[in-house]
Amino acid sequence: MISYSGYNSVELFVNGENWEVIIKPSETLLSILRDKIGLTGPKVGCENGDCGACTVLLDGQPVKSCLVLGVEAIGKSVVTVEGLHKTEAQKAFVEEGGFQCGYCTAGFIVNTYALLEEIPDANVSEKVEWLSSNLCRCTGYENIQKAVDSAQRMKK
Amino acid sequence: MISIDFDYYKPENINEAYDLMRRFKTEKTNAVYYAGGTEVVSFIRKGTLKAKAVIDLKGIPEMSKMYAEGEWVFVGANVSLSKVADFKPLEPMKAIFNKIADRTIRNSLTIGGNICGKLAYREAVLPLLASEAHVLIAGAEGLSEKKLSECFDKMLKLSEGEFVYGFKIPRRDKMSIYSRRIESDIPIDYPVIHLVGIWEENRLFVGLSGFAGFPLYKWIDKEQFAQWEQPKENLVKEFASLAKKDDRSGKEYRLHLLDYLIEDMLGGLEHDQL
Amino acid sequence: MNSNVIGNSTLRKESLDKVTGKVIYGNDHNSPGLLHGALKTSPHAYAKIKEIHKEDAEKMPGVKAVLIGTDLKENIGLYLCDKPPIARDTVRHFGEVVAVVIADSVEKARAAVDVIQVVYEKMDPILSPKEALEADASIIHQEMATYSHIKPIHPEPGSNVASRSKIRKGDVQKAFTEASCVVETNMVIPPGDHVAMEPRVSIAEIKSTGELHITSSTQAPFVVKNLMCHFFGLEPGKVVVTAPMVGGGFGGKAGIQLEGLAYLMSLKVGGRAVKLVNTREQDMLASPGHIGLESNVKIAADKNGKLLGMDLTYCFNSGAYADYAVNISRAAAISCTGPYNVPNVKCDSMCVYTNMPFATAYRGFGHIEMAFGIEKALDELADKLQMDPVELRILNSIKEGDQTPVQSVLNSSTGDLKTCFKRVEDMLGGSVGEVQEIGKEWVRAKGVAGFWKAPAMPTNTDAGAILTFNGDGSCNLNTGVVEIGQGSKTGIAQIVADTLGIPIEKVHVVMDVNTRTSPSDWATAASRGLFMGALAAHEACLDAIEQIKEVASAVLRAPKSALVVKDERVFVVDEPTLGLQLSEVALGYVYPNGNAYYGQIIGKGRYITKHLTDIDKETGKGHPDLEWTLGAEGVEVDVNVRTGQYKIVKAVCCIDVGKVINPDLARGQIVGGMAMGMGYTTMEGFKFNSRGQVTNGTLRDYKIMRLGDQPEYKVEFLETPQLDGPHGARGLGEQSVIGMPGAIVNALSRAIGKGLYEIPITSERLYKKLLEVSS
Repeated sequence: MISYSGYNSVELFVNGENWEVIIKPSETLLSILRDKIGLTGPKVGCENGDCGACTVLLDGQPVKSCLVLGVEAIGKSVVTVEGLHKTEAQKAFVEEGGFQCGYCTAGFIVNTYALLEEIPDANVSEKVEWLSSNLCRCTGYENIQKAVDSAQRMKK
Repeated sequence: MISIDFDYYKPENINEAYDLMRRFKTEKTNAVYYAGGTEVVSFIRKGTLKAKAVIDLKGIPEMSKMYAEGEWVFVGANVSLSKVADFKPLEPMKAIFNKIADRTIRNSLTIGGNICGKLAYREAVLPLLASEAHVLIAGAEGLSEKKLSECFDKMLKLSEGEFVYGFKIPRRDKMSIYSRRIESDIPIDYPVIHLVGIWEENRLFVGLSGFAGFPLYKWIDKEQFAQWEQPKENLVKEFASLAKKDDRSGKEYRLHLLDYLIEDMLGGLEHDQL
Repeated sequence: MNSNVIGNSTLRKESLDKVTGKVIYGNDHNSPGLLHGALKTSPHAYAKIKEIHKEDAEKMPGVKAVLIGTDLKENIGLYLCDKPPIARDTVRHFGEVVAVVIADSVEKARAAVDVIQVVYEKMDPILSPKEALEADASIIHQEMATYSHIKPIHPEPGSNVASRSKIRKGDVQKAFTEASCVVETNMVIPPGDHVAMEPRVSIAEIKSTGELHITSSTQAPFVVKNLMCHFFGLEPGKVVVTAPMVGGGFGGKAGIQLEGLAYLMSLKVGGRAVKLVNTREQDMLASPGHIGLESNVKIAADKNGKLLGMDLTYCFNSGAYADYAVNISRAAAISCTGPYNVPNVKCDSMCVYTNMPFATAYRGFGHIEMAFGIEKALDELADKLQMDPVELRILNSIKEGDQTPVQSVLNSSTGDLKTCFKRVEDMLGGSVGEVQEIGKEWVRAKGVAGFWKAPAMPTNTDAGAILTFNGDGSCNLNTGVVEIGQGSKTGIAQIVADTLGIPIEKVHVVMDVNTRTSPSDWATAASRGLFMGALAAHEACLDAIEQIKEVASAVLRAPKSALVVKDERVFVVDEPTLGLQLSEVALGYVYPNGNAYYGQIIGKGRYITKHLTDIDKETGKGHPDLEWTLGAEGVEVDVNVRTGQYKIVKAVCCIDVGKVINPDLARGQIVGGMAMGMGYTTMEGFKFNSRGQVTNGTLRDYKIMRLGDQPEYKVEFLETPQLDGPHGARGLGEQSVIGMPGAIVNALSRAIGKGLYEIPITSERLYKKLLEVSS
């Protein structure tokens, strides 16, 4: 049986690269990505699963990394916003002004990217369902909605 | 950033898991079962759950399986709610599952976690009870299968160390489901009241989450229902005394919404189903 | 002039970094050896601290030190020095900081916080301004007489009034006696939170030279610098504050936040670098939120609806400490009537202490709270007089030549409020006073409100700009404006591109603000960042152009008056082929024979507010207002009259901004403000139990809008020029939040046929009012 107590050297697969990190069970995936691998794209917003600023992909699925233990990610693929390059989602968010302060943006982009990969012709209610998992305080969501729609059109 | 240390275990089969938990109980080590993590991690961080060991059940492969076989649909307790909701054979129940938490949380939150966790809403249990699902429980003797309705009263009754392995849901191609949920402000929230009504061949299942401090439900025989002169009032009376008051709503508002939703449910469902 | 830059929706300068996770916010700074802080907070709303036992915490692994209130002698405070950085012998609100642990990791610091034991002696908390003002109320600040304060603030020792501002204009008593129609409303708004996505963070280090270096998520690095010197006796030249990109401020990161604590922590551990970051719960409760208000509004009008007088009493709920609140209550007094011409005004605006989480600046700065009561009262007046609510407001809209409540006369840079109301009415589809049935259970109604605001800031508020150049003729723009998401840095860059005649891509913006290297800037608040920053930048451009022409005049042997700077060149006006590339001039011109001339171009510009005065203590008379941005808003709501649930279907705004520098960024500000205003009115606000503890202090329980909840937004801009503004522009960052509570409460009250007077307007509250209607 796999078990971890105290610090252990483990391998995590993040943004297509293998990383050897020394972690203990109580460390969340969010804190490991930020503090041990230096990927500060996913943000600390609430540490309670409410705001979505920490959203990353775990085997392609969006998860709130503040509620995932690092040890759970062993053997899986983790993708953060830094692992997304010139995606339609990123281009659309820039063009449509889908952010202001930018703090929630990594979470929204990762979630949008995953949505459009999984459901390329997502309808309005699917888009709302997925993206209501993330909070934004600046934009009032108008431009975020436009950015998601634009990214969808670009992918076609 | 969690300030307490705990050990992590990932057993590979149910005996390993159960024996480990028994050992911890004997040693008086505070241990909890772990699946999606959305509850456990949050509570440990806040200090309301003091665990020295977590036993991650996700290492037991069958508990992550979901398949339709013959008359049943098997759903392992570790299957995430978003996967359960997207599973075609369970499509009639999708509307209920998709109201819980938010989509990203549902990618982690498991059906077992929603039903057995500390949060008392347990909305996923209502359609399972209605369809007379069975629950498979892992315990001292390995797996035992029981009718969910026989071991669920406010919460799932488990003996010390037992855990839910999975559910067997009778396959239904068509289910007449009414599900309407009212929150205090916005949809992503706990429910003030979630009314679920499911018409079966000869009876009506009425379930409520958020209304009382635990899920409420009742089956009403078609015949008894037909005899009621005031079906709405009678239904309301079944539950009214349990209305709770909390931060999201007072008692009076909950009672009013109960009345309103039952009326809506009775009006919405076809009367020729009576 | 590059005229296609102004009015162009240029993309934000920092866009690509924001969508790739490359922006470094305060909490993204990490290095081995950086120490970390964690806070212990009070579970009680009002209590004496009898004992604190920190010995066990101090012994825990990784812990360097534990700070408690009695370690520190000074009080801090923006205008009134009433707050110990850590509670000393009394906790005055739920969530107040009682101890700080410094350790080598956040986890270890938090673990040590858990073992600190505090013995409290509970007292009965005061949970409303009304309670605080009762004759026998306990006095929350017994030492008020000893607190130092700035002149414009008027505390009343022996009471719970931290400051009182008075407006006495004309003869209000006469106005009310002569009035045909009088209405009166009483409104209640609880304190609440900014909920910026980024929790506050401060890093402090004291170097061996004695220099204090702070990196902080602040909207006001220069205010932090000045206050650190003031409170702790430091030299201004030795305090360096850096503001990186900030994840939303909304006023909550103006003033001084965690910086004082971070400094004290660093001092305690021999000057080592220490980082203190709030958990979300602490960001909501230990750090300040927005002010609450109990208002009494009386309006007198003649039979045609012309306003004759207003008698206003504002009891602002400052919470346990005054922070910005004493200025907020003052600002609300200055604007107390809303954007209407009212010849006779009496206003008493008090900043009142209670045992609730304390208040700092919030978007709208008292105006959103003030407008709630005014706009509801105006609708009730319209009802009484059987007038259309838009017509009533148009009749009384303030305009050029009218006097504000402080008797300052509006000049020709005043916006066209009447047209704003007409446009809002139009965008809502007219018939604002009507209620429509749209189904068995649903009705649709509309509501409008007017808004105005001038920046509430010191009379010597300033800004500056420095331009340096690169070898390719591009420039580097350095101002003290912080990028908190509002896009001002991009807007100012557009001004520079336009004035210098170079493409916007050639204006490189210094994103971080550093108080040693950036020119002084009051604060990125009060909707004046673009206004003042752009004026300073414009002057810096003109300065640079002068220097460019100086060089070109010598080289081209032409007088400066015959030279034009445009399209990345400087050339002779009637012989355009005779000229130089900016790249040849930018870093010193070199003649063909090797002689160098003049040196690098460095442009400097400055701005300071003109002709502002304080207001008179008794009458409020004065000229504190630089420029007014005003406008109108409206909403359309669908209400389920069975359940009390409702949906805001449309939110519209017409605002007179003088000149739209960047249409997309401007719209973003207006829409964002409307969204905040909607949340504020419909679902936000702290909830308290009878012991004064906040019961919704997490994002699980404190709800803000999510995607899918938003209405259809409609925004229009009017451009009545601000004659002294950059290209005629005025500030616009705050205004659109101000009218939302008024518009929403008016629409909902109309929908159900009964007045609503309390925020937040939840569906349960609406349902209870519906019950009253039917009984």
